[in-house]
Amino acid sequence: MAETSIPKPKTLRERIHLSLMLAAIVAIGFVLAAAQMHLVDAQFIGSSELKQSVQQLQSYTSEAKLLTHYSQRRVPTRAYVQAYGSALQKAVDSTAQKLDEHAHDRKLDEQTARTVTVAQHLSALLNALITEPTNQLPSAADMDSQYHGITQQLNHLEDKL
Amino acid sequence: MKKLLEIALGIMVALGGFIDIGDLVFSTQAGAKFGYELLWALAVGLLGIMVYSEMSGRVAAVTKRATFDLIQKTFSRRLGLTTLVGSLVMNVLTCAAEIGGIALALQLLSDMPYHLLLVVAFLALIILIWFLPFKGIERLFGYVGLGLLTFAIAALKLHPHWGAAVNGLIPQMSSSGNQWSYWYFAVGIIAATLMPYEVYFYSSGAIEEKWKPKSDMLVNRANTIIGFLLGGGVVAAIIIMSAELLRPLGVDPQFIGTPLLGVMTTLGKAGLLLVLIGVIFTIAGAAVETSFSGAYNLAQFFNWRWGKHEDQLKVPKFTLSWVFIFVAAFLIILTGIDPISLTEYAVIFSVVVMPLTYWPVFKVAQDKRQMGEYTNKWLATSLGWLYFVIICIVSLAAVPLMIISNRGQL
Repeated sequence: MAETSIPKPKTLRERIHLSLMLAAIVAIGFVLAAAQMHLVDAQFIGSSELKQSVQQLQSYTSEAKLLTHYSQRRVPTRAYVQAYGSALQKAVDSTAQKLDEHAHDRKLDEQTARTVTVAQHLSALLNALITEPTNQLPSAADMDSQYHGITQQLNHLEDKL
Repeated sequence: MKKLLEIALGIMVALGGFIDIGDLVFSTQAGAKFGYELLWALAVGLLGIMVYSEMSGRVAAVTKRATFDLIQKTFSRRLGLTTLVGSLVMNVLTCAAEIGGIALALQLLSDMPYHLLLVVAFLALIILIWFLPFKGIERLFGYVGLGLLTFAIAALKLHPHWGAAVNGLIPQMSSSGNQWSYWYFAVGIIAATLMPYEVYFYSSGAIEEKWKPKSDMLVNRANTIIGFLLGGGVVAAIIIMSAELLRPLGVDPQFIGTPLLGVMTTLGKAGLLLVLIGVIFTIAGAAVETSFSGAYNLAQFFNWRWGKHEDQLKVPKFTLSWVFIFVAAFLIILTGIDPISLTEYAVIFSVVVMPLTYWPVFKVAQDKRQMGEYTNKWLATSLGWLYFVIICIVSLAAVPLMIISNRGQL
């Protein structure tokens, strides 16, 4: 009769090592699956994605307002205003582009169009902030009023969603 | 007197070098989303890094062995190699995020193109590290990093709610916002404070500076307790600033300029310039630490000759290692990946390997045969065990929380 070999029992360290490798593979699998789901979700704009975009624009508006306020009322660090303002403008334009280009629920057509319009207005204000010399911007009161208008419109859009 | 001066200098270096881009990103976001509610997570992470670093510094001074030397001797070859590979990958990613962070911060100072500033940051770091001695590197980035103290002044000028801040030191469920996001940021703050590369660098630094058990224990304790406590105070200031300024306005921090808004509004141009320079140097210091940590780890694991105190050409494998890590990090960040997002991934995944790097240090610190009179006393042992459990929980929870909360966006 042929001898059968009995497998050697694994040591504790080898078991730990194998468990860690398995856990790492599962974690990587999770991350890849989540990334894939996220990519799929990004192609369609539903009510929750539109609301998220509106909230992002609210955040950008607050930052833009603080930056403009600082720029007009104190001696500004011009490079900081331009670099930060450019980053904000890029983010606003990207949000507007995403809303414009991706498919969305027909019932949200009007809200989506209004959100894109508000985003374009915000982008124009940021463009003025980073390209115009401070003394050629509209007055501080006028800029405040424009930001206030944008904030009101975004709050109104958020309430409807 | 000379000893006191050495201790004071060490504290300043520890304070100035405490923060990196991960701390900046996570603490700003945590304050903006949850106000003062996550200050307890900072306290947990801070005590953890004090415990871990003090032990590793003491073990290095007594046994003349740094972290990866201990790992190589504690684990099997295969497990040690897995830990080494995991740590190296995290070091490279963290270094890439730091280089990107330097370029973003330089852009706020100069408004020059981002990719040009990446090249400037990369070359400047290589040149500085090549020509400066170890002590010089520590002191340059540590001292200029003290500009971050501006955050503390700005936070005080915003008149924080001290009652809410004290309340925030008590672990609790979130009273607002999504619970998954809340725990994701709690884990993120603990992980950002407990970054493993800081401990690899610290323990190897103890050997670079030839620490002796009798004369340098006080320096070790002063650096890790007082220095890190003050550094943690700066991180707390960032959370407080975000809570007071950004949260009421509904700002969701996504840019490196956002944490500086509080300094800008309270201290104007002078404060902004000071804090920007502090940010650049402290992140640059972190980039140096991550690349050196990777090189130390490789050299210690494979028993190569190593040390910044040696002539570069006399330790070729060690030198090539840190240069290679810098180049790899530079190439990664050159692809255009967002440094802020990269930082979040690097912080979360770094904590996954942490139990494997913590255990050998803790084990040796308790071993009377190796440590003699410098072995852990009851307090160090109790805290050591407590943090081993906390680190294991955090390392298991980090990635699932990141996925479930969609990186805290829920």
